Amino acid sequence: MKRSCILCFSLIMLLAGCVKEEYYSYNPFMAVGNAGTTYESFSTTQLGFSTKLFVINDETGSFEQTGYGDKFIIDGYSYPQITMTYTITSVIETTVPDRGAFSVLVLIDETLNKRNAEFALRRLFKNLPSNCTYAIASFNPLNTGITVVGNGYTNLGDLYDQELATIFEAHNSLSGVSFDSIHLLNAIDTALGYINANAPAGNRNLLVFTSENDFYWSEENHDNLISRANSYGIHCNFVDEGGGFLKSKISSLTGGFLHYTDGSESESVLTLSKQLPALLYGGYSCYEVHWRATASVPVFTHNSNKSGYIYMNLSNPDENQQYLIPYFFYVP
Amino acid sequence: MRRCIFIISVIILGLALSLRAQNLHIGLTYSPMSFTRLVLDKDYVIFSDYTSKKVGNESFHFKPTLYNWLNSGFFIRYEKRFFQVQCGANINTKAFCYSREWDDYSWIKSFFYYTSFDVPVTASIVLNPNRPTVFRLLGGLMPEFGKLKIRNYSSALSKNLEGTNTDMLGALNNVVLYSRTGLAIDRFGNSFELYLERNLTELQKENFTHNANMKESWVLGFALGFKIPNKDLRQKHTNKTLSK
Repeated sequence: MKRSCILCFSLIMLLAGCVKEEYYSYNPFMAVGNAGTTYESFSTTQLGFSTKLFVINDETGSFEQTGYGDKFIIDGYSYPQITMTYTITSVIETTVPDRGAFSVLVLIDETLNKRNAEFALRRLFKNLPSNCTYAIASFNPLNTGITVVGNGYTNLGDLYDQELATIFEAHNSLSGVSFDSIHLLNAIDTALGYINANAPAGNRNLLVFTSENDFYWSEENHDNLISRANSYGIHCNFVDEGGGFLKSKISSLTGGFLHYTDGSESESVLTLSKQLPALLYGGYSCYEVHWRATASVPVFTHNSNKSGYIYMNLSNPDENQQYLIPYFFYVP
Repeated sequence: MRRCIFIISVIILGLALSLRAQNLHIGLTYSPMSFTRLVLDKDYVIFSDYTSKKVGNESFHFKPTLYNWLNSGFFIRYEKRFFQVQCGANINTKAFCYSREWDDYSWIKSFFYYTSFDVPVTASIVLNPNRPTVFRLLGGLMPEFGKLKIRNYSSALSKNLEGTNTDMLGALNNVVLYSRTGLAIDRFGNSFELYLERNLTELQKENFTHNANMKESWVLGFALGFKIPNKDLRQKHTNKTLSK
């Protein structure tokens, strides 16, 4: 009798141990971004420009090719006695030029919260195409310049696993430290020099993960930076949590992309990470949206910069989100 | 599978012998509480979902789960005046902390736990025989078989606990040999055993170059033993009752 009890007790415990496991899940967000903004036409009351916008579906993880062209808007704004309206003149479903095998220097802002950025980067490195290479560098507000991890460029996806985790760990000690954005500018400048000296020839990229705003940047500084990147043949790409339009200018004028995410949409970086290799490779689908800005009085002038946000509005039973896409272009 | 059949055969044989031999005894064990310590060899453990956690728990931790209260089994003990040899079979749930991080609001402890089938085989030296309370020093080996995943849930005893981590569990070997040392106190057939276990064989199936590997696993716990009176004692008791 007692032996039977022991046996039954053991069996009950075994069964209790075999319950299905539960997994943590998150609510995914779509990832949208700007692959370049181009000036097209000018009059004092009308301005034409086009934007290349990509949309990555959070469920399929692939680039959307149709169905989102009518979701983009730019809010008109009004000053006293000036009314500005933006209309879409046409939407073309197109493809970004294929740039081939890439090398990328990932420049990480150490003040970033680790969770999403680390996830995105580790996914990029571990799914890197065999003919591509990457290197990691970091910067923070307490030092000038950048710190390159290990021996630089590699193709081994897990080589810098420990170092990558260490970089994001710095976030804890740097939270609350005020950040003068000139550090970001210096870091990009140093990174361009490093890429020029060390990256393989061909499709060379800088990918900046940052949460800093660019309020303190001067026009002269970033113009120098853009001309330097172009002379080295480097595409500057940004995954930005900070805001501001000058990063959009740099990415647009160097042939890179920009993905902006504010706090509420930071999960979109997880969706973006599924296509980071494609975004660096090129050859992906996007929407070429042609805009016309119309002012009620003559306000547009030559030799000026225009910037703002494009919104992608999704209002359906599954998603009710508004995604922001910064744009920037120069009117010659 | 062959190992399991062998062990079960040994246990059945022991049970059969214990009913006939005066020096063999069977009993039940119950070990609901244990402190665990896990040592990893790098600073960060990298998971297959591309996240990482800082490793920082090299002290003993008490990590209660509901399943710990079911840790139990039975034993066969061969007893002589100055020594005892004991073989047991336990179902045991162990929880190991491996990371402790400060979130925005509180400490978050990361741990995993699993249920295994343990077969402790120990020898004891009796320090003071023929006394009502007997002290024993014990030492031996304990193979641990199987890693049963158990359900992830929030313990009522501690907030912000993260559940079973499949990566950590998946990296573990299915058979690990532990050493077991301890001190036991016996009184009237019941025993209190304080033991320390440490792995003797590799914990992980393979060693990673760029990821943290589990190198040492320690368990400090106690077990209660309840000896079941054997056939001879029961017979004596019956005879006494009849003679009255």
